[in-house]
Amino acid sequence: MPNMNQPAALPSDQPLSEAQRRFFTTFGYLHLPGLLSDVIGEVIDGFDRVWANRGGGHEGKPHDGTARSCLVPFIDQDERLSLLLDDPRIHGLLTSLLGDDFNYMGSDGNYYVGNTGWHQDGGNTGIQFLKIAFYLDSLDGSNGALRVIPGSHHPGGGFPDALKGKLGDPVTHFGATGSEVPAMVLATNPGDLAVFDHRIYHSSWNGGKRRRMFTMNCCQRWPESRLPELQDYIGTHARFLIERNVGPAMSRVATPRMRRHLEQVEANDFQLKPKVEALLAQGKAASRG
Amino acid sequence: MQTMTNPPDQLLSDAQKRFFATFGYLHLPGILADLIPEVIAGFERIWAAHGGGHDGKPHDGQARSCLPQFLELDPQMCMLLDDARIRGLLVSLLGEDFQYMGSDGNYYVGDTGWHQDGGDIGITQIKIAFYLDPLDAGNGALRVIPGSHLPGGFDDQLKGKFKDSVESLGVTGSQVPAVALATVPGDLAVFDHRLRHSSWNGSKRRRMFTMNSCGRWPDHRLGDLQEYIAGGARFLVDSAIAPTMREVATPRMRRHLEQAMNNDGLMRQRVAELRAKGTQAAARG
Repeated sequence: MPNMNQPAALPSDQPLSEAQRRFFTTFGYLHLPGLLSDVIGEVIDGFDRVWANRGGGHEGKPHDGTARSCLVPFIDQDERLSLLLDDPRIHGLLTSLLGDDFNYMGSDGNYYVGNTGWHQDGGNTGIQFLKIAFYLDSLDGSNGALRVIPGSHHPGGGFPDALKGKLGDPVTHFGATGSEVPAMVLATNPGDLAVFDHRIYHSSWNGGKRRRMFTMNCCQRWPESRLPELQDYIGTHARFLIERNVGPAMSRVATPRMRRHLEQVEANDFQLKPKVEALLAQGKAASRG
Repeated sequence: MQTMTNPPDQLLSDAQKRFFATFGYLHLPGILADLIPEVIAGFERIWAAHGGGHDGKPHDGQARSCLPQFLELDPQMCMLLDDARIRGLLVSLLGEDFQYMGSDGNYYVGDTGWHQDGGDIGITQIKIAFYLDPLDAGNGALRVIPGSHLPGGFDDQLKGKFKDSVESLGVTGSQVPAVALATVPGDLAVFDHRLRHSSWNGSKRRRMFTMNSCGRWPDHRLGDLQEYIAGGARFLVDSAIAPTMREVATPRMRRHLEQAMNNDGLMRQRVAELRAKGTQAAARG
């Protein structure tokens, strides 16, 4: 089994094929079955370790199955998980979709509970954002698998415009429940990766009370002219009550190659500290998502 | 299929209309379940009266058999156009003055690759598909790509990708992200002509017929309508609306036949040209 603590001898990146890139551009997602199956045992151990070190659930309290537990940043809290950013398969897919100078924007770890309604993770910013989702239980349409609406991420088009404002109440708007909305269900096993454009509409239905999942979020490098927008964007993460966007373990173990993907965010996260202080002064708890 | 008393049209709900506008299709399970034995008997009767397969020869399972102006060939089947449920959905989606544009009956064979039935012409065109065998993704059910009928970024991205989906997208035709509409006889599948659709893993004798309809064409576009109707010349038919349909049509039905009946001169001319060139076999679709 490859040791994620040993990045020195990393094999070369495993880029996506041209066809995979076109699939992602066209439909807004990719399902990569078994891509990390050789390290999934280590990954699950890391997931459990991070939660164990943080009380087992949201806000340091054990997960009780009544609401989502969410921990941000996630992989950044663990040296082994942090090195996923340098894995040639993950690095390869990120450079394929976002360019060699992509930015790592953070991660979240979750115990999901029940349904997650239709939503997008972001809008049209002119900067390509994507999420890599690691589902650590076997999932299909009947127990909480990710569902996506292919093509719903494209800007300036009839389809996303037609969807706008309707998926929050699909029964009223379409005569269909959330789980009946036309979509692709990505049945996944641990070791698979699901990668999707932040703009794609996605959801999950019929999930259990302890669905294990964590993500890595990345984007293209922002041009210098748009750094204030990047600062504002990072500033929204204050709701998780974090003062730095990149977590301590990540900063500690980052290789020179990884640093390239952290640098722009580390230099532009200065809105976080004052915002977090203001939230704490108001007695706010960390957001669940 | 008796319509003497004309029950009121069974209109779609606003939500169903929005679903259709957004995703490009509707699946209406069991909407004609009470009629389906009669409909299947009509389907078989028409094929039996026309040699059992393409061009008057028995269907041999090697290639699709297609018979244009299908339900128009049978007086009972013609009356589907006056059925309160079918009228209701056509009125709901196309307006009170919708125009009937013909039908085709088929024995499909195997796969039908990804395609659209029409492009953006500024007139909504829809197909009602009657599948007469239970179908799912494993044996030839209709698959659709929701939203692929709407002009814009997604539609643009899909253009040209399905000639060779393995080369362009890294997936086979049956792996293209889509919704498979599992249907049983009595269901209706209704879709916008622009919607990308296909079917995979079908048998050699998949029974299906369609009704095509559209919104009424404005007078200043009748030239376009004549060209559109003339596209049907490949089926070597003599008029856009077959005689049986013209004979049995009620006054209410006639309103929906009027534009096709009055604008098929160009088609007749093209059919004559094809026949003069020696074309004897009608197209398979």
